[in-house]
Amino acid sequence: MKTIDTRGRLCPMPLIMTKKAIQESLQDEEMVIITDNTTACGNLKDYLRELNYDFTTEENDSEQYIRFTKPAMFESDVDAAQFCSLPSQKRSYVIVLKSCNMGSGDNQLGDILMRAFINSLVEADSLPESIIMYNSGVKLAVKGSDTALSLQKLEDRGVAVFSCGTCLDFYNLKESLAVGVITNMFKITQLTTNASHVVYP
Amino acid sequence: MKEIKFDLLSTVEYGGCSAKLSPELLSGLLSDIPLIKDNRIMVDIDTHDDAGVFRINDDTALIVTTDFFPPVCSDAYTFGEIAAANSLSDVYAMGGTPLLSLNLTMFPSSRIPVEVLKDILLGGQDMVNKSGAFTMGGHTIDDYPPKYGLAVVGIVHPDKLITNSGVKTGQKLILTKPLGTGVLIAARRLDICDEASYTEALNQMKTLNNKGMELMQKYGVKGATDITGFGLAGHAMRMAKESGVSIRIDVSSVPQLPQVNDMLALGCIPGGAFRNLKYVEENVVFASTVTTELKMLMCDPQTSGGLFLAVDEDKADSMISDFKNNNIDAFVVGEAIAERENSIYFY
Repeated sequence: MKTIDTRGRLCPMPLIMTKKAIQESLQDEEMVIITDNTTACGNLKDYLRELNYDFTTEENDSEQYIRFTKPAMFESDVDAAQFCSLPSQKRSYVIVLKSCNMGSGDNQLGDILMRAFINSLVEADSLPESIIMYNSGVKLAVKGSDTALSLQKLEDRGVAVFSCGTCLDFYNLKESLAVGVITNMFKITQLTTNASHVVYP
Repeated sequence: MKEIKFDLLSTVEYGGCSAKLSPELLSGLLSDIPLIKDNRIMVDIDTHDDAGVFRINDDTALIVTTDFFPPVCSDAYTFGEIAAANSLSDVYAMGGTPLLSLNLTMFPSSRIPVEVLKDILLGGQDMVNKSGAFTMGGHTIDDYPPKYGLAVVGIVHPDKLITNSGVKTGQKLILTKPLGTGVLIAARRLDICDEASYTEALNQMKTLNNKGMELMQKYGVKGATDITGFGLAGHAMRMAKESGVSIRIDVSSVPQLPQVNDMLALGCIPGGAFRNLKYVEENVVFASTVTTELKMLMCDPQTSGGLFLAVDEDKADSMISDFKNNNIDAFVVGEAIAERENSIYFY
């Protein structure tokens, strides 16, 4: 158990002490932050939320205790991430839509399947970090399609939606893009190779 | 470097625009205080704009605004310059030229040497002189900690007025100063950033937005605001709502002051950034690819920040090179899109 005593310290010092302690701690180590300042306590909780930590709080006299555990993989712990082959706790993933059809076979069927996939993704418990569309996949993001509306809903919930610029140009659809942003091969390579796993429907 | 008679930063916990009252709290109170309408009022508090605007005749409208805050730096003269530049900025953000100014001063005469007050006022006056406005007087209250700023009257041709409701779908958005003054002021207080980074933040805060205003008029800009206490996220959100558009901002293209990302990674995040995040949360989406550091930077409260303006897509490149020719580091950071469920999409 590691104690981070921030009593008597004003923001942002308690945040800095917490971040430092997280970086110096071991995996699965339990930590407790003590604070006696309500503003600092609120900011600490917001900060832990931003860093995707689950925590519990308790109050004792005029002091607050915030308890949390460092998860198996810390998000900004780049070295650990590189050598760790297990997906992180958050199970972050990327979806690549490489065609406007799902599966190979009849195109009409493929179109129905792909629309069903994207529309049901909106209801999924665990959302992807990003959705990348290339080749005829970009057609799923253009104005007037029901898939673009579903992709908009996903974007409103924080999913980054990217369409390949070369592909939009090829199909002459740049002006019709209804959701997300235009990207290039450099970014697509970066997103897919850094993802803990990639889903190709 | 001038000798510092008194360290003004020792008087405050939160300085500059970070010291603003919570926006939710304020709008709750103000909703119970109705204002009288007049058809000569072109802009009032309803649109959350940078200043009020009153049409006197077909050729002239008055822009009125005020802003004051506790110290953002140790040196009195510099504080005066920054506070004045910040107050004058609201006039520029609306496309106007400052005409008259009044000093608003609070100073504890029994606790701080009065020469410090003189330096504050001197810094303020030098900045007012740079803007071409005339100081008409002021008001001073004995109070601790010290606070300083201006009430400013500016003028603009009614047809050339720029508001936060004038952004059109398809326009590019340009930011004219890097972000991070809130972070660096906090870092300076804890003595964890380099002198050079902090000096750059100070220099930026005392830079007037006058050139930016001239260029906005040259390129026919109708929608703009300046970035201050609510951060880029907060001000962009208000601009999008008032203009009836949504705005996409590419966080990787948003300029930042030196060392700011490192400071944020250390956890040096000013309290105002968390306040602003709460303020925008319901209407702003941060894509999951945006790092915690950049998310907090978008919410960092700025003091005397840059202009955030919308220009027609085909004029954006020449406007940017015009800014560069005037030694202003302006960047295209996003675009206005048709109004969607959320006001701002950071990606």
